[in-house]
Order: sequence, then C-alpha cells, then structure tokens
Amino acid sequence: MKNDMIERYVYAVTKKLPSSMREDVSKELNTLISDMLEERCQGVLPTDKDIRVVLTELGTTSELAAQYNNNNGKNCLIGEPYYSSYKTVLKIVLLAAGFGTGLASVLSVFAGDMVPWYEAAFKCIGMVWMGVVFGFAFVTFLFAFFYHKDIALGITENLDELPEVPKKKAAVSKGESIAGIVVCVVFVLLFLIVPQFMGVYFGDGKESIPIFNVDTIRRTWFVVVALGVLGIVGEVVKLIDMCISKRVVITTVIVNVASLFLSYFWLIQSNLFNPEFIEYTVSEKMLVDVMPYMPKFVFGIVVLALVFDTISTFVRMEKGEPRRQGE
Amino acid sequence: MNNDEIISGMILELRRGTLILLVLSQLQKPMYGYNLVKNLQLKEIPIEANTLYPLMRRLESQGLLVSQWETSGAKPRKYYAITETGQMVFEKVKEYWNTFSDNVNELLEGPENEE
Repeated sequence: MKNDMIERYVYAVTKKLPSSMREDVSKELNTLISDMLEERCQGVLPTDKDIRVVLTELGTTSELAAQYNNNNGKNCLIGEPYYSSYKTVLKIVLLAAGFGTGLASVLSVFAGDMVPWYEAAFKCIGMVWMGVVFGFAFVTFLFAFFYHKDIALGITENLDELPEVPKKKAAVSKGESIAGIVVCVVFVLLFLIVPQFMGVYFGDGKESIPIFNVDTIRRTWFVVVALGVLGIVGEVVKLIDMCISKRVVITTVIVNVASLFLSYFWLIQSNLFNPEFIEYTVSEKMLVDVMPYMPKFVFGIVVLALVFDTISTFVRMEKGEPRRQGE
Repeated sequence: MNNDEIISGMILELRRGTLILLVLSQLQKPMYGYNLVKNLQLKEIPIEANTLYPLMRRLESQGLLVSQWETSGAKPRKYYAITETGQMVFEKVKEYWNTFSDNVNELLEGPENEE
C-alpha cells in the first residue's frame, strides 16, 4: 500500500527521535515527501516506484533519524578528550582486575578442597572473566558519564613534571633467554616424566630413594606445567623485546608472583617430599637440623630467587646499561 | 585511502564548512525549507533535504533561526527566517569569510602555485 509505506517510513524515523521532536518532524517529513513526489511526478499520481525512489533518496530511516539526532555533536559514548584517558585507565584497570581476580581465584582453589583440575580451571576463568567485565563496565560507565555531563578531568600538565627520557635500554642477550627456556623445559620434562630420577643412589643394586613424592608430583602435574609455562612466557617476552622494556618488567613481575604462589602451594601445601627420603636423611644424620623444615627451606630459597630476579630486572631497567652485549 | 576518496573527503569538508553561512545568507526573508533546497541547488550548491532540514532545526535550537508553521495551504509548511542573533552572527562570519577567502585565493594563485 503506497500511503502505508510513507506512513511507516515517517513513523520509523520519528520513533528514533526524542518525543519532543516527534510530531513536528513527522509533519515536516510528510510535507517534504509530498513536495518531492510532486516535483518528480508533475501532477501525475505517484506510483509505488516513485514513492520508493523518493524514500530511498531521503536515506534509510536510521540515517535520517541520526541526522535529526545529532545532539550537540555528542554522538558517541565517549568522545575526546575523554577517550584517550579512558583507554589508559581501562588498560590499567583491566590488567589489575584480571590479575587480581586471577590470583584470588587461584588462591581460593588451593585453599579449598581439591577438585578435578578442569573444574578448578573453569572456576578460575569464570572469576577472572567476571572481574574483567566488571572493571570494563565500571570504567566505561564512569567515563561516559564524565563525557556527557562535561565533567572536567582535571588533568593539567606541568612542564616541570615531564618524565625523563629513557636512557639506552638494558640489552638482553638471546643466549640468556634461550638458556632460561631450556631450563624450564628440562624442569617440566624431568618432573613430569621421570621425577624419580632425582634421588639418592646407592652403589650395590639397592633401590634409589627419590627426593620427591612421585605420587604427589603426578597429582599436581598441572603445577609443574604452570611453572614451566610461566617461565617460558617470561623468557619469550625478553626474547621478543631484546631489552629490559616496560613490558618485560611487567611480565617478569607477574610471572614471578604467580610462580611464588604456585611454589607455595606445591612445596608447602602438598606432600612434595618423599617421606622415605626424609627418613633417610635423618638416619644418615644429613642436614638433620634442616630436614623437618625442608619444604619451607626450599620455599624460602625460591622466594629469595624470585625476589632477587624481580629486583635485578627493575635495576637493569633503571640503569639502562647493558649487562651483556646484545647479539 | 585511495586518491578519489581523499579528494571527495576534502571537497566534502569544504562544503560542510560553508553550509551554515550559506543557509543563513538565504534566510533574510522567511523561506520554506524545500524552496531553500531548490534555490541552493540552482546556484550549484549541492545540498540534500535530509541534510538541510535537520540543520535548520539545529540552528533554530541555537537561536539563529526562527520557524513558523503555515497551515493556510493544502499541506502544512514550516517557514524559517533569520533572527537578530542569527543576523549578527551571519555578518560577523561573512566578514571573516571575505578576508579568509581572499587570503586563500592569494595563496592558491601565488607564484609557486602557478600552473
């Protein structure tokens, strides 16, 4: 129906407009369409085709409504100058939220009852996702609000506070990174495939006593893999950047903290050390004073190593001097 | 972006920049929207109704134009006319345009740009 199409068109356009405008725009459009048809048809009754041509010329209902809706040029959710700040803040918040909830969920998994690894993984992923989504929604809403209400951001620049130009960045040799990756791979393979190799060997055909509780290692294989993956990721980033960049530092920190928590769980919470081995050392009076505290002792060493690595990475970045020449 | 797109983009910006000035210049006496469209098209200023109508509505909300519905004819028609504020704004911008376009033309025809 010809008339129906025009009616529907005008309705579709005005539907997208604020109610205050609707009646006025509707009258305006009806007259305009009628004028355009008159011009096109010169007194002859407009056909279906004529109507279609005119309506097409006017543009789609969305386009036309958009033209009318251009409210003070604030058509987007977040425009400049807010958008740049929004992006910066969003990056920080998403990283923090993702990392924070990741850590929290990992800890909660370990603190609770042991569940199959896939259940734990799903739980962690779910929590991280929720944390990230919430962070995103919060920051987006906040900045959209600021933008549309013209709330000043208060970001003034002070010439005296401009950051220093970074000195020549500390180079990281390929060899260093590759060695690191090899160590991680060896670590993973060793623990996953032949954990029993690490132990005390006796000369005359007596069975060796593995240092670690093989069962525990089998059960906690995902920790081994996770530690290995973390290490490899850290080294790969170093390899890509070829210097101690901000990205390398951030990755190193994240990897080290995550490794810390994983090591805690692995060394302290689970039965990592073979009770036989512990007995053996007691009976042989080796390191007797240390033995009961073996897990904590090893964990302490791990903590020191991780802390040292993190600090040294920072220092290398600050100094900006190559410790070793890049290749 | 290929060259044709760049060219049409620049041309579009030029047209956009001068459109409001032109609209104000034609509304010294009350005029019906569609007539304004036709007038401008006759004077080789390409403009569509779906751009002009929302634009005039916006100018009215800014106080540069004032509108009135004519209901005496067969169909209701909205007439727009320039306001005092609009006139003042128009004259200021027109003054600027005269100087500006002279400068532009001078630069474009300068010795370095002779073809």
